[in-house]
Amino acid sequence: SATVIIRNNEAADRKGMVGKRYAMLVDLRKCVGCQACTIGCSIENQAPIGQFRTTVKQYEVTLDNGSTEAKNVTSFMLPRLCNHCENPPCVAVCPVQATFQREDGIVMVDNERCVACAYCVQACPYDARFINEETLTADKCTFCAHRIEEGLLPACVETCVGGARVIGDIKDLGSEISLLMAKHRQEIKVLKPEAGTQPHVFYISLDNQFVSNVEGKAAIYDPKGDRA
Amino acid sequence: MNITEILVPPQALAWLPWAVQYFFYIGSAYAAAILFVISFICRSHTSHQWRSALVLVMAISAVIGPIALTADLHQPGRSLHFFLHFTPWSWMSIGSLLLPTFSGLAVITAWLYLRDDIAQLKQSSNIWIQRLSLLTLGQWKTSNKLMLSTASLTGLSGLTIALYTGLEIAVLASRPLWHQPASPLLWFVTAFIGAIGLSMVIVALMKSQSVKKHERMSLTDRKIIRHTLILMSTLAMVFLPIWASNHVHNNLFDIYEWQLRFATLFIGFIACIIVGIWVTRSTLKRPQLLLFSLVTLLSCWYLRWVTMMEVQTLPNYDAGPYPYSLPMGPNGLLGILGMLGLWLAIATVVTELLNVKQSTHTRKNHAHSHEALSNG
Amino acid sequence: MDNKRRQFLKSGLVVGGVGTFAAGYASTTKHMVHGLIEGTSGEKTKHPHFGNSLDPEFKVNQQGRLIANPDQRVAPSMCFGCWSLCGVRVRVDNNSDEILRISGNPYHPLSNEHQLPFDTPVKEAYLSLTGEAGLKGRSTACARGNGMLEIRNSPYRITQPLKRVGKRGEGKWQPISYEQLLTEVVEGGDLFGEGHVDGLRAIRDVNTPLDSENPEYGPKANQLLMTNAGNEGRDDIFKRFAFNSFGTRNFGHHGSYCGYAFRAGSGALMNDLKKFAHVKPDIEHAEFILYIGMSPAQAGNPFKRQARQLATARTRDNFEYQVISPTLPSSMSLASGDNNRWQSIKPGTDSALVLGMIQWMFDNNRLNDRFLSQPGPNAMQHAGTAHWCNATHLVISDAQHPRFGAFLRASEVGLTFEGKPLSDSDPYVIVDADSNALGLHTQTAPAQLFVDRTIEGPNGDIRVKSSLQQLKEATFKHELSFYSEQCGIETNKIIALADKFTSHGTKAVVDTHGGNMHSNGFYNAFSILMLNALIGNINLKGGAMAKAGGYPTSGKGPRYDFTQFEGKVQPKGIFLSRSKFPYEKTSEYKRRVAAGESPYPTRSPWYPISSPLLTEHLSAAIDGYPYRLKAWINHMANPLYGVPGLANLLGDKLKDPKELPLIVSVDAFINETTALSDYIVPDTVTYESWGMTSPWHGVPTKAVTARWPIVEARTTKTADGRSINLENFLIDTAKMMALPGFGDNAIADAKGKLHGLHSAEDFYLRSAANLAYAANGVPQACGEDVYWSGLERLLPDMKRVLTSEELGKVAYIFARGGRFEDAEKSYQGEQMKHKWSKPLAIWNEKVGTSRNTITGEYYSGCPTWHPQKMADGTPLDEQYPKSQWPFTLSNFKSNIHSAVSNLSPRLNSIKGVNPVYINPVDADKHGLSTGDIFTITTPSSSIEAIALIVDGVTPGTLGFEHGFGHKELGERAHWIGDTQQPVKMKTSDGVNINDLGLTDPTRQGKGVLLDWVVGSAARQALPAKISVG
Ligand SMILES: Nc1nc2c(c(=O)[nH]1)N[C@H]1C(S)=C(S)[C@@H](COP(=O)(O)OP(=O)(O)OC[C@H]3O[C@@H](n4cnc5c(=O)[nH]c(N)nc54)[C@H](O)[C@@H]3O)O[C@H]1N2
Ligand SMILES: Nc1nc2c(c(=O)[nH]1)N[C@H]1C(S)=C(S)[C@@H](COP(=O)(O)OP(=O)(O)OC[C@H]3O[C@@H](n4cnc5c(=O)[nH]c(N)nc54)[C@H](O)[C@@H]3O)O[C@H]1N2
Ligand code: SF4
Ligand code: SF4
Ligand code: SF4
Ligand code: SF4
Ligand code: SF4
Ligand SMILES: [Mo]
Repeated sequence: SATVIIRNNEAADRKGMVGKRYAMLVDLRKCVGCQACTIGCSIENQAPIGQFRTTVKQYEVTLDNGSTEAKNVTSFMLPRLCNHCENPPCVAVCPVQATFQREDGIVMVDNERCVACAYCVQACPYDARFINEETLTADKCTFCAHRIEEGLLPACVETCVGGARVIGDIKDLGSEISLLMAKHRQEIKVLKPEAGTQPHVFYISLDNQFVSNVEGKAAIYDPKGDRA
Repeated sequence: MNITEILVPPQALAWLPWAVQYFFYIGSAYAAAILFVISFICRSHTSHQWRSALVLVMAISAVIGPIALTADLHQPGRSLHFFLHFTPWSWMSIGSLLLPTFSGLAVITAWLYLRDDIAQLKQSSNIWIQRLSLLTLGQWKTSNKLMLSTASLTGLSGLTIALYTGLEIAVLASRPLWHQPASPLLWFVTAFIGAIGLSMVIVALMKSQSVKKHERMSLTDRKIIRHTLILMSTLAMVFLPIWASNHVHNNLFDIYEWQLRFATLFIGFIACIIVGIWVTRSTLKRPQLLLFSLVTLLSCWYLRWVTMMEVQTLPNYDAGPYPYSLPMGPNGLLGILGMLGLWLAIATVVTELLNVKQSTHTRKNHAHSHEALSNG
Repeated sequence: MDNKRRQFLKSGLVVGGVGTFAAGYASTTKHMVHGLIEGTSGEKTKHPHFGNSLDPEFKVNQQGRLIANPDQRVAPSMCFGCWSLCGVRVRVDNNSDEILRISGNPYHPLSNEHQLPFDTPVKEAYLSLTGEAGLKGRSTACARGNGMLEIRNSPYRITQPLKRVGKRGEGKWQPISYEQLLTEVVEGGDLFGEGHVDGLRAIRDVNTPLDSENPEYGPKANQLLMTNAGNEGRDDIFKRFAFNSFGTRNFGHHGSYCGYAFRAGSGALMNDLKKFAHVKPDIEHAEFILYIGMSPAQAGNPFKRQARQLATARTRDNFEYQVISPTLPSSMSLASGDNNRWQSIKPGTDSALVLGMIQWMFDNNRLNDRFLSQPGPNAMQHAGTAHWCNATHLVISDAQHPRFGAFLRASEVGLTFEGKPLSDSDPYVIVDADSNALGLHTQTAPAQLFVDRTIEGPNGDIRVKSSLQQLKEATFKHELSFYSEQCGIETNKIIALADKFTSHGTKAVVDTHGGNMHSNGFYNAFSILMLNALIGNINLKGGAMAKAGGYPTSGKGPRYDFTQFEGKVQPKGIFLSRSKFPYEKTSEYKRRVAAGESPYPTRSPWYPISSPLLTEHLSAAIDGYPYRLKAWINHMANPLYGVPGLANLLGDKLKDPKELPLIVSVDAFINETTALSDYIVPDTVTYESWGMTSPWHGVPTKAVTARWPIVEARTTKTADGRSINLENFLIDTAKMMALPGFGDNAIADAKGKLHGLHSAEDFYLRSAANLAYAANGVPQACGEDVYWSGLERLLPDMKRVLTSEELGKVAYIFARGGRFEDAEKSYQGEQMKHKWSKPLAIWNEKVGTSRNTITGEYYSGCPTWHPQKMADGTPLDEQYPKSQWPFTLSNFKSNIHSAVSNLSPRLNSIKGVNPVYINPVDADKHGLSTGDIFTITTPSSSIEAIALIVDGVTPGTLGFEHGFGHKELGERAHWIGDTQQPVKMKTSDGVNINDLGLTDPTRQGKGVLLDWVVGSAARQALPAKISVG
């Protein structure tokens, strides 16, 4: 549609690295489900214990291929984080323009402006946001902008044991991510493409059953009240 | 392919019970505003008691609602940001203008309507209460025209609240249960049930020997209640299944917990209809009133609980619901009881003050003021 | 209602309502006020956009140069999140000395796919971690590696010397001075008001036999048991104290309850019953890897490197792998498609599967004859194979022959030999492949693979069979269908697997490990690993590689010789665990034979081929067979958590000081074992401590991790300002007792000059000098290396201990966190550079000539089907029939946790409990749903667990994830003086299968269920039943 995409990034300090577009590519074949990224991110970004900017979901998958062969059971790991959507609904709803998308695609929150209404948390179809119970503001993956800007890698990428996570500038055709995306063009998927959010976390080898929602047996959870 | 989640972290609920409270009180406020307009237009048939009840429900709830809303902000001290960074494309931001307008109008309307009653506080033997009569801000008479136009404006403003609160949530494409016309409609129609429940609480609080016979609930009042309850409960029962069938991934009707929830809601709405029918037949003594208000308030409240809180336990992506247990503290039960407590406290004080005048002023006086209103 | 009452009620309503509101709204009010004053209701963030994220450790400027952050340093250290012991890089805040975050050391092969060349300057190494280059160069820490920084400030940490008050194990402690600690431990006395306790001084008697009836037990000094967890880098000084200074024979570590069944089985194949070497797949070049009883990327040693290599390999076109285990591991990958497959198996039946495969391989000529038929090194050279084995050597197969089970030697059949008969220089006899005549293994031509004949010897006929013949016969003892029934895998699948395994030449490998920890683990492991021998993949690229090893450190090195010192004691006597010593040489045996009685059964089993076993030490000591202990010094080992059944068997006994009078623990925490001590010596955590380790395996190049205190120790200090830790405790104890090897003149340099050993620095800096000078030495570090690695803080000590030349070289290795051979040195053509040189044992002579001391029966010298057994040979399922115990318990390591990682709250927030896996078929039978609580009972005990229904568990099996179910390490509040340690809020952190471990009722001297041959712990395949409600 012709609707304008709201980015809330008029202010000078909200431009980011103009001319670039950051994205992440996760090669699911290489993800071993070790959760190094989860903990690395948690420490780097000092998230409160139990609140995560990135998670890795672990599944058991039973393939019934219809043959007389016994069932083939296997594992599947799915790292999740903010998709830094090109059309981010979280940004559009913010009543105070606290959350914004930089020119380089990174979606961020201004901790000093956020009123913590959690509207953006509700608007994200990917559960990528939360209200940080320590800072009491909306929190989410920033692609470790504080590191990327200094030429470093995000914590989760840096410590990815399987080497599954790749970050980079997709406008730079020579970047590792661009090369990999070109090479695997056929196999690349995003989560919930139907949401129209245009996610910029891409997956290699994401099975169709995991694209939009999981139909299966639910995990065991500890019931939780609010966290704040 | 059979999938079993081995390790999946739950997503915490982002909107706490405060949100339900806000929706409950603000909904009651705008519904009361609309019912007040109607009752006021039919003022020759409706009672002052009933209109006072509505106007009080409207005003108290319009004040209480925003208080609850502020609590759902984890940064209530930054409420000013709403105005500093007005964001016309965000319904919540728009709401930040609409809501104070409505609350203000609601209070003004109530004040206008109750000015005469306030004036009567002069009669009190208590010097402090006497002084409260100064709140009339002068001796002038409120004209019916002024009253009607203010009330209508408030009613309209109430509609904007219904619109913005409904749309604010309905625009969230992330949750199919919210992202549909049925959800704002459901909240709108059930708001009236809540308004009626709260009004009956006020009536119960006011109810005393001192209320003069002609001021007590009229048949028209009861008919308004009856029609409202029957109409709105029926509509709720129509919208509810439409609403529920819009969940894209799980069929809510297949889930035992949801079956229970729907059954409870239906029983609630049918009970509301029964109340509606009963209301015109019963004597409306305090126990009945309290019973009726309990039934209607719980139905309205629970609908909001289910559609706002329970909906958040439905995952956007994962297989099963994220369990939520109501905390005992401020962000849970204590918060809920606290808001109710505040509402009741204000209602008690206000009705008590109104009782003061009723027990002291003369019938003539009153009739006069009443005349003034009805003829002005 | 009267007016008054109404008024009263209403005011009640008002007051109550406002009161409840005030309470319910209080936090909002607080937030509001806080927000108005501070600008935020929450914690103020450092940056409006970046929140509280850490400041970057450095940055890369426009010119691509690395710019330091003066507030931080990045230093190399070692992780102790699991026993992989990876080299890590640690960001430290220079102002607070707090650890900020941990990732991988770019020089370290365990943290990297291909470690950075060792000569890279540190600054460049750090630069290689940044930007686009950093993607390829990434050197990682796993979840534990990241999270374990939390142990340093853990509220459960012990930082001062503690002495128990009240009963042992009660959880009440009193802080004492270091001096009091040393005095009491050394001098003994009435330490607890419970009577006299011998101190170390009284126990140390290296001359008087502890038991005059059984002089072979050794001197009284053996009544001190010294154990550590494993070699986390500080083994050498510990053993120096135990063996060579104090002079006790009894040192133990966690080996026997780690993966010892596998190690022993591998040692049997590798012909190495000393160090129990093993091989690992060369994942990078293998085409097919069969993992039986181990789960790469879920656990495995090394966890991280193996995980990374597997992740990469499965994106290759020419790579496939299978994992065979009772529970689905996270090794599998739906995303990688068909190239990986999980096969379920009944626990404890692996040799059935493998012998079935081998049977098919024999039948279908799928053996690597060329490899197998080379009888010795000369033939190997001639044939150009990468290795050789004893497949063709002749085993004396006549049960009446005194050398039954041994190899026929040249001297026994009149062939030429040198030296003494039956000595190493007496060659093995083979049958020449061409001539069919007897020959020697030293010949250059191949030998006959299958031999079964009777040979005329000078002393009569000798029935001999070649090793491979023995294996073949053992394999064919049962039908394929029998094997299939044992392991629950259909015959066609066994065949398909054998076919697959033998379809990649030498580029197929089998690997195994912890899945052998059951009562028949030794033979299972021996069988599994035999597959490698049969396809001859050893020492080959893409095949099975040997351990590359490390460089000398605190041994005999180019700068210092740690192995010799004045007064050095050679420990003597029999290990408490009755291992490595043939029972047939004991006084007891001789007495019993002399008395005309059968020497078998013994009170408890002897383990002729095993290393010292911590699975037996304690039960032996309590039972007094062979002898009792007077004191136990334990460093970090936690057998009461880690050994199945031990806490049930000994928990209460160990609480009784009469059973074991003095227990001293050196640890940073109170774990299930240290909780039972009399004294706790606070220890440094890994980032604060010294240590030198080399990777356990899985690295084709030489490597030594050298860790040094990159941050200040949080333990209290000695009077002379050293931090209290293991080393200083050992040193000061030794000095107090005037033991040799510590104090003045303890370490000799290459020129014979003697140096003192008064602190940990004295020891490790000199070890580091050896490391730096070994193998042609390393260059001198430059100032930038020192700066960028944060080594400056160590310079004063380095200047004190080292020569200036040494200093520069030591700085070079310390700046890089160790010494590492370059990755490009992995191969030599198509072979591995570092090779295994001892011949493989298709038949292991030592095993084949040893006996079980309960039954008196010989062990079989080659893989053979043995079901799970009790110590007396009774099959487990006869002892505990299926009708009564329908379930089998299985255990796997957590992909997230280790046994110590529950000390990290962040890790716990990801996973805090371990539901037990149950198959839907079994769950249905018992009406269980996921999330239900049910009771699991074994013959020894019973626990309650949460059920998780998964297809990924063999029917009839329950799967336990390890690392949970702690009873200490924060799960119980200890009193230290007047303060109580905090307790974790959660009521439980899940279950530990070891709480269900079995006691073996078939032995006289009580012990836990162990492998019936080698005495390793049996934590897999335990019999059980379940009940619901
Ligand atoms: N994540 C993580 N990694 C670790 C550790 C850790 O604690 N956590 N610890 C490290 C240490 S100390 C070690 S020793 C290694 C051990 O590494 P591994 O040996 O790989 O791990 P284990 O879990 O001991 O056992 C491996 C597998 O054996 C399977 N198994 C159990 N019983 C049987 C059986 O009867 N037959 C077969 N075929 N399989 C069976 C289990 O399902 C399990 O998946 O891991 C190291 N790496
Ligand atoms: N059921 C079951 N049992 C098992 C296993 C299993 O998979 N399942 N795994 C087995 C295996 S493979 C092994 S290797 C053993 C391991 O067993 P052990 O080696 O005996 O002990 P760990 O449990 O590794 O714990 C070591 C202790 O060191 C202390 N510690 C931790 N960090 C530090 C530090 O930085 N400094 C100091 N000074 N102390 C520290 C803690 O008190 C901790 O309890 O367990 C075995 N037991
Ligand atoms: S993933 Fe969610 S939070 Fe991130 S940009 Fe998209 S909508 Fe916003
Ligand atoms: S929580 Fe903060 S960022 Fe999110 S919508 Fe509300 S004000 Fe905006
Ligand atoms: S990019 Fe940074 S913030 Fe985002 S998930 Fe990774 S570590 Fe966390
Ligand atoms: S660190 Fe990498 S391999 Fe490990 S879980 Fe995260 S994405 Fe997967
Ligand atoms: S694999 Fe083990 S040693 Fe290596 S980083 Fe992870 S926890 Fe630490
Ligand atoms: Mo281990």
